[in-house]
Amino acid sequence: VKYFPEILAVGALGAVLAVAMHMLDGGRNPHAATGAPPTTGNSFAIRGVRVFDGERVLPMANVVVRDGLVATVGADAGIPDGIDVLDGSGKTLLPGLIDAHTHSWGDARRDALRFGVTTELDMMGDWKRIPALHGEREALARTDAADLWTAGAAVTAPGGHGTQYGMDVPTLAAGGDAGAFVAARVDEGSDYIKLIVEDMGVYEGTRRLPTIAPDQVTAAIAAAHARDRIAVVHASSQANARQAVAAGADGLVHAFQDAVADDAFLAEARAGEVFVVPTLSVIAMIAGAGEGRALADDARLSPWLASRQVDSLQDRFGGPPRAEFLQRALDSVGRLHAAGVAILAGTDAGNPGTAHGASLHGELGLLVRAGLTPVQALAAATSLPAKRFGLADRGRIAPGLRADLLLVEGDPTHDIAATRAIVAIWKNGYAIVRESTAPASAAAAAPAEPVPAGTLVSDFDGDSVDSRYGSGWQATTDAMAGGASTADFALVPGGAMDSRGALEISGEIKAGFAYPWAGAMFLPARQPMRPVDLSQRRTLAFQVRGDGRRYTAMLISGDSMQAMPAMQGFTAGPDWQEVRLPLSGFAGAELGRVRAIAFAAMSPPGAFRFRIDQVEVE
Amino acid sequence: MRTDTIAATSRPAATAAGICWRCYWLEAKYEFLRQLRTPAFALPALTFPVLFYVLFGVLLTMPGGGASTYLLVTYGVFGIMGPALFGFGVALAMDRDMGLLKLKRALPVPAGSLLLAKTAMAMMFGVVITAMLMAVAIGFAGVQLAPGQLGLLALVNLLGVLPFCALGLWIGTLVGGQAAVAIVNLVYLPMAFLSGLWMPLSILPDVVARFAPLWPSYHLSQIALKVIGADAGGASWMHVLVLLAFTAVFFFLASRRMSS
Repeated sequence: VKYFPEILAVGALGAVLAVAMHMLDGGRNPHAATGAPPTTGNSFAIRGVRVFDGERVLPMANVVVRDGLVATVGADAGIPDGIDVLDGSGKTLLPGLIDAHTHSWGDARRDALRFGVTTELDMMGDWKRIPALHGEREALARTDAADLWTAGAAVTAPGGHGTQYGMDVPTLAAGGDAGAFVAARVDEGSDYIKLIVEDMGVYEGTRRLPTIAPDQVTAAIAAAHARDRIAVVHASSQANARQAVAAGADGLVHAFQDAVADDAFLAEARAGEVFVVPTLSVIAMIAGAGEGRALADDARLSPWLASRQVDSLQDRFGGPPRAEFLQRALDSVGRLHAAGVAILAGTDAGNPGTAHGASLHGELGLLVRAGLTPVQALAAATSLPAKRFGLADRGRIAPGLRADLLLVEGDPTHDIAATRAIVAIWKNGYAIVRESTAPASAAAAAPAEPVPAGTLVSDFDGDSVDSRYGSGWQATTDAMAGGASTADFALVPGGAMDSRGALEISGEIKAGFAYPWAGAMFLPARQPMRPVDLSQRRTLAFQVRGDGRRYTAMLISGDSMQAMPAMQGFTAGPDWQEVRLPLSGFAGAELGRVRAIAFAAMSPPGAFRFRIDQVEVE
Repeated sequence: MRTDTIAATSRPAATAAGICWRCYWLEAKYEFLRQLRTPAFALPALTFPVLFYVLFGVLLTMPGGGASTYLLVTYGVFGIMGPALFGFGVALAMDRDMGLLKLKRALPVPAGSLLLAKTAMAMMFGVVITAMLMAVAIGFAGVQLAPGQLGLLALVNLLGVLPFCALGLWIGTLVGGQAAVAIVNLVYLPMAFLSGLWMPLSILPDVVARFAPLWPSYHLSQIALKVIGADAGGASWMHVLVLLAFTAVFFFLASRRMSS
């Protein structure tokens, strides 16, 4: 009682501090810090967002998530008080993607989730993990991995396809009891039955692998149906595919590659109500189409690719490229789709030329190339696989369904590649923290590339912003570190020394960040943000004119793009003027490992505008 | 005549004007001189902020990067905290140890003159430190600020000593002179770090940033950073309110200690 006034005073101070902490959000920079999830709990709302609900497009809707489940979706859905609200303007909300053909081991499910693939359908893998998988996919707990359904062990012959991976798998011998074999798989917990009909005849001249007999195919499919499992078939030739359809298969998990689907096959497939998972991604690898490398080079995907994924994307099976395989598969998919056969998106990730998660974005693009509309391609990766594989709690954005969601910038219902511009991913209602993998693994370890002999980087005299080498120009701002500054760049006519064009860089330095910057940067390596060796070069030279403001040239080098850049200042006056900066003047720069050269405005805050031309590294 | 003189000198607080300005002035002057002549106080108080700033804000940062300006502000806040905390916390505790407070109470001086003198001393040191930092920033780090911004920063730092005076006062009433040195250091250095005064919160772990609003130095630095437009975006009145509450509560706690 004696200390009552003291207790009262300290209590009052505590209350003030508590209010301050709450109001200031713990002193954190309000401009979304890197890596921080957009929402914290498993309840939140997104306001004014374009929604593809798995089947249809809602141009403008509110979506409310409660306790990990979608609560309401609609243009007039009310947003309750007290939950995180995200502004969805300019963005599109999609159901978490489903990859309908994977082989998921190791880090596969974590890799998948980092790219918005919230569910994978494994088409042959370790069956001993099945009990654990069931628990995980039924729970609504926070997780960093995609859920998995699996065929477990596949139905294949001794020494047949699927036995060559070093895993001890059960096999169905010639004349063996297919019914009993399938029953054993169902007892192990297989979610569906995968049959492998493959003698490698499509791929190789003379060598043939043993494969299961036609009567075993028929018996296995019947046994699966008897135990309420669907049966899907790997077949690479039209003849084998036709036989599988005749035997009552529910789906084909590859497009066959020896021929374009003929009219008879279209009719049979439609009559049999089979679905097809064409796995164009892996066929593109066999065709040597470079799809995997293109994904690895896509700046929207590459920061989140683990080094093992980059390696896998650039890998190939041996043997000559078979470009005609991809063309046949694309044509077949177009014809099957036009005939009304359900097409599902699947990548065969786990194979060379693919990467879990990233490749599904490539598959969507290939499906559109084959003739699906972007909306149909999105349905092929969401509601359709959920329906055909009986995943009742996902695949659409509808009340009561699991809040597996993907928010992307732009409109993938018109431009399918927009699925790659991921803003946020939620699994079970919890936002996924996408840690950039680039600095820690792939990019840091990457050896520095040599640079071509020429000194010229860009003269900006062409029809687009390009460069003689490297991966071109990009905007760079403090937004990547939590700031709010903006930058844009464009070609403008009238360059230095009466040349045709120049690069105009403009934007605004916004207050509210310790070291604001905004501008444009040149990425000198073939793969964005990888290092190049400039240790034999001496000078960065360029022409500049502008608003009279002081600007900074930055050299970003060393282990990561996040490293503190080395800087030198220059002034952009009213007339074109050459600036020559000795590379040795970039104090602290590692010239043997330069990742980017940036031209940027820094403090003080305010709008800026300047032009550069004839950029050379001599 | 003679009795008048004696009366006038023995009861100076009751001169014709009602307030003995000279008492306050002398008290403040000698407090300042005393601290200036205490190397253990004046040397670190005056040189550490500038040394740190030269190291982290000038030598180890790239020119033109904005870091020098940002750190000028935060090291300014760091600089003014020192004299306030030490001048009150340690010096007052030593005064108490030596019985100086009892002596003062017996002397015919205004009761508040010692507190005001110490506050004035802290402000004085604060202004000197701020001026030294500004000179280094403008002269060696190429920092460009408008005269108005410099003036505003100095004003923020001047008034910003008050919460730390209150905190120091309370510490000084709590423990003896030896212990006060340790306690003030234990409060001063971690608080400066955890408020992002040595390096920006954006490069410290998230948990540090989350709890930063607990420290008065965080709120003062946010107000000061508003002058250069580099604060985190909290409302000014909120920061001022926290600092006022902090000052009032610790002054109250100290006065309760002194009267008991």
